[in-house]
Amino acid sequence: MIEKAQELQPREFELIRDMVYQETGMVFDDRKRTFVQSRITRRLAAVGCSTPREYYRYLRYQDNSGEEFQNFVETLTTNETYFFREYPQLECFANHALPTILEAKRKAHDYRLRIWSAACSTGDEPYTLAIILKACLEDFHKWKIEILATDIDTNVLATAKNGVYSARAVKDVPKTYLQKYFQEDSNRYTLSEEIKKMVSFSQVNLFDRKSMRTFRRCDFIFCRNVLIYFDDESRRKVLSSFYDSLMPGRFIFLGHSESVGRISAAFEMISLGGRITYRRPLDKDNSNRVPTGGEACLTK
Amino acid sequence: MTIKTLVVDDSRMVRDLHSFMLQSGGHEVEGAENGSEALERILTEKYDLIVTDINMPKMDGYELARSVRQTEGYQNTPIIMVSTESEAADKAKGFEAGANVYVVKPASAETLLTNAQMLVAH
Amino acid sequence: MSDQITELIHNLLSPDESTRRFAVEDLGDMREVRAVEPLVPLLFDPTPAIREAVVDSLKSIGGEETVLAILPALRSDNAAVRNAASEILQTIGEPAIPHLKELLQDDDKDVRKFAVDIMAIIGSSKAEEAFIEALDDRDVNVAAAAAEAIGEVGSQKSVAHLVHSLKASTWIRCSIAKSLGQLGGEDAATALQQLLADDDPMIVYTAVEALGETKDARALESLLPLLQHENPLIMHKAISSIEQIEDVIPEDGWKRLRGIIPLDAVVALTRDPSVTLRQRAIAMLGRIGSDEALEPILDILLSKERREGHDLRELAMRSLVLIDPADLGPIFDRLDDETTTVEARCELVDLLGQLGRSEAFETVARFLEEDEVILQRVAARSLVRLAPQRAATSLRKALRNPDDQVRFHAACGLAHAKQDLDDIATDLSPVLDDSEFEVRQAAARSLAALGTDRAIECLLSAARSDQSARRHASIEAMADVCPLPEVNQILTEAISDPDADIAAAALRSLTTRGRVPVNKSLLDCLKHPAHTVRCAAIQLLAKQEPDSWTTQILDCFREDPAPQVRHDCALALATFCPPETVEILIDYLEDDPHPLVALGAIEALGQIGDEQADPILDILICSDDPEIVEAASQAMDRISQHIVLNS
Repeated sequence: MIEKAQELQPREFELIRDMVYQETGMVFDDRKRTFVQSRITRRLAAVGCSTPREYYRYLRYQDNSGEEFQNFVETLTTNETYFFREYPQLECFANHALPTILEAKRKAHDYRLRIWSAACSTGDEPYTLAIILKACLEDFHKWKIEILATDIDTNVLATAKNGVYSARAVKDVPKTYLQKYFQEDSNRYTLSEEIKKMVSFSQVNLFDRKSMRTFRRCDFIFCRNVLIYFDDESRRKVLSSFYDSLMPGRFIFLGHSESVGRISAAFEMISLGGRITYRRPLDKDNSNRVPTGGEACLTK
Repeated sequence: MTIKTLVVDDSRMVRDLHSFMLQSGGHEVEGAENGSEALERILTEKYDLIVTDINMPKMDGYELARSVRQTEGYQNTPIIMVSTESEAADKAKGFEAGANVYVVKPASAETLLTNAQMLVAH
Repeated sequence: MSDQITELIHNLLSPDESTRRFAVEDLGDMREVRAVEPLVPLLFDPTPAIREAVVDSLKSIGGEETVLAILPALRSDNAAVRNAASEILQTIGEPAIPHLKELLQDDDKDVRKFAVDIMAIIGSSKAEEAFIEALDDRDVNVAAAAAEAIGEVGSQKSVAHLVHSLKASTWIRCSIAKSLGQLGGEDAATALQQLLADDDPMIVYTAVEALGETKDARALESLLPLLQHENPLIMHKAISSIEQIEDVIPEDGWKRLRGIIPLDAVVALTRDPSVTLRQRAIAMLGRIGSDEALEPILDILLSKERREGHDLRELAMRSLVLIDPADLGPIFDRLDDETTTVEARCELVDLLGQLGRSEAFETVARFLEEDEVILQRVAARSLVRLAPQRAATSLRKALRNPDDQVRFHAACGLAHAKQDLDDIATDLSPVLDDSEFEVRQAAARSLAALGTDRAIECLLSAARSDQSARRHASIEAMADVCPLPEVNQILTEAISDPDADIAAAALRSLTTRGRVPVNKSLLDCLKHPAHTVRCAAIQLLAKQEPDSWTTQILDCFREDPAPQVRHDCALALATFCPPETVEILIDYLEDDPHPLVALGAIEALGQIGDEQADPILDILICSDDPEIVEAASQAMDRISQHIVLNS
């Protein structure tokens, strides 16, 4: 039950919404007021504030480290990041998209593979991809694999580099991988060095065109459940940068509730294993289509 | 058997009225605002008939028809194009892109339903 | 032209896709007007990504130059180019309006329709006249588009024109109906009601939707009978239109309408396969408030359906409370029925509590003795709602229940007891040691509310306990205890409690109680390491007679490290207003203030109401900080009111 004093008034909603927009680019329109209210109510008790206005001021003036703001944003984004999140999509990647690209590359004797996890948060996603590659590539040793992992938040990047996770974060890791690549010690799971060294982390703001352009020739880009928080114009801008970073015929993966096609018509929509995926179209003069097929390797 | 139809138009009003006409004729109808939204639905679901506008943002009706024809399981799915453009050249382009029938707006319930019946039975 | 721009424009022709795209993006980011002309041909680029980038860039360059360069593209043979041009013009907005208006005279009907559609999306009221004229366009699609556009931008003056054009073809009439709904008003509503009798079902369908759009309660009288319309599409649309209007209906509105509601039809809908329809029917039955709906809604409340069941059950609960049936018999029958599950009983007991009718008391009290914890919780909560005085005996027993939620509700409920108050106080006293904070708090508050000597004694002894948990709950609850000198003394001692939370709670309780003697230990609180204690102390001092401590507050305002404390000091200063307060506050605001402290200072100046503050407020009102702007404008209002009052 929400007490009267804790009710989020329109003005307070505006202040908090604008603050979140300025700091993160995330948009919460009026329809989200009840949602934002519920998240604020959760945080009020945690910091000892009794009204949303007090909480707003707390965020602005007392939260010098930005820690509480980060907590708040996390409750807003329900920033649930964990290993092997959205398993069916990863299956589609591992069993359909990846084999297609690998096959074409082997034929061309090109053994470089570049994957970019563009909003990697605490590293769960890029490490998941690293585990998948390690498990799926029979000729792993032949490949020069780069997994680039970026995020705007340096705090989460520090956690990511550390590579130690809670039981919750690894709850969906298939048992064989859990035993193989993690070491458990009193409910903390430390990732093995062989996986950690496959991923390189750096800080990037998705809206900074200049630094976005330094990411080139990617085979896969993952940016899941981030764009949902932006407005149409910002989404299109970010997708436009991703387009430039991909090689022709290579794939982009957004979250399962997000649709590339509703944001931009630049990508080509194809169905892989019954799922819609998007890729940068092949160059017109380059008519040798990437073959489809390959063997499934990721099963639960 | 109920006919499952996808109605594609960027005007909500047109979508509503075309849906109304087709539903009155027993169709089960879903709507999409533009070509790319339509294509997403087509790739994950099976429709018996597609009724589409031409001038739409993101992906227009011609491009939609072309993409539908390249989609597995959709080579023969009937497409009715409904547009305000009435010249022979426009119609020719529609057929070339893969439309089976070209109807000039405003479409009447009778025209839509008769054509739908004929195409689906075929 | 700078080298960079020349180079970028040159790059637009590069065979390399990325080079072309980067050039397009950069020219857009620079809003380079000279790039418009070379960008337009790229709308025909074979690569969709280039075309999309060109659209984005032309949108951000905008302005009349872009409009003029892009207009011819509306006539392109290429549908993608036409649509891209349309999208750009929509975003550019106002500057495009005069040129689009001209296009309404174009020979090409497709160009005329584009012009109407784009202006409708821009939504400029400047286009209203043009749209009215276009209602008579020789092409039916253009006229229909104009009729539709009027709904987006039009005003009441368009209504007569729309009604006049209603003799036209089906599509135009549908568009008119839609717009009449958006424009609303008496004339529009009358015209729409007449359309409900039309022979063409499409017209009726659109009119029903439009009536919902008017959000005018008078439309209900014509919409409700449609709930038994033979055409299911029209019937469904009528339901959603009624739903749209529901919010504006006064509370007794439904009772007046009862006669024309086809109740059987609505009850039948609660069994419809469509979940949405079921939801709507349940909500509507609640609003109609008819006892006849009781049984079917109880069925839904108790249904075990998993999918979407939860939302339906919640809705059913709300509707049942609204119906407030005259006879509770059917609810008791279901509780007595042996096949009713524990979950279903919980719902029923909860319902009885929410209905708040005393005849349900015995039945609900029985469930406090049940084995199931979840039933006990609901029963405890419901009993408190039903008759807290009568519930005392059962609730006292429940204070020892192993479940903390049951204990919590019991402790809360006992606040309302009317007899055996001393015994109840004795029962509540040990609860001050409860393991859960909420339960301790509830017990302390209930003791305070009971207010008997015995209850106060329990609180006082708890406040002297060596258990900090026990002290905290009781000190906090003492805010509301009648003004005993002993209470004041305990609270005054508690402000020196080693536990900062307790010290702050004591200060807050004293603040609610009003005047207290100001002594050294209170003034020492101004130096307490926890800023919550310092804030509470300042708020307490602000309630006392002004005296020497005003200098201490001034010191705090100048020196305290915590902005929150300085903020509270500023407000305290406004109540005492020692000499030079206004100057001190203004000086502070002039010299790069901390925003939170500034908010306090601004509010204080408003409270004092001295017009000396106007110049600095004039400056602050232009601040980037939305809160500062808001506070400054409120303060200025208060100052001007103050001046009016004094003159």
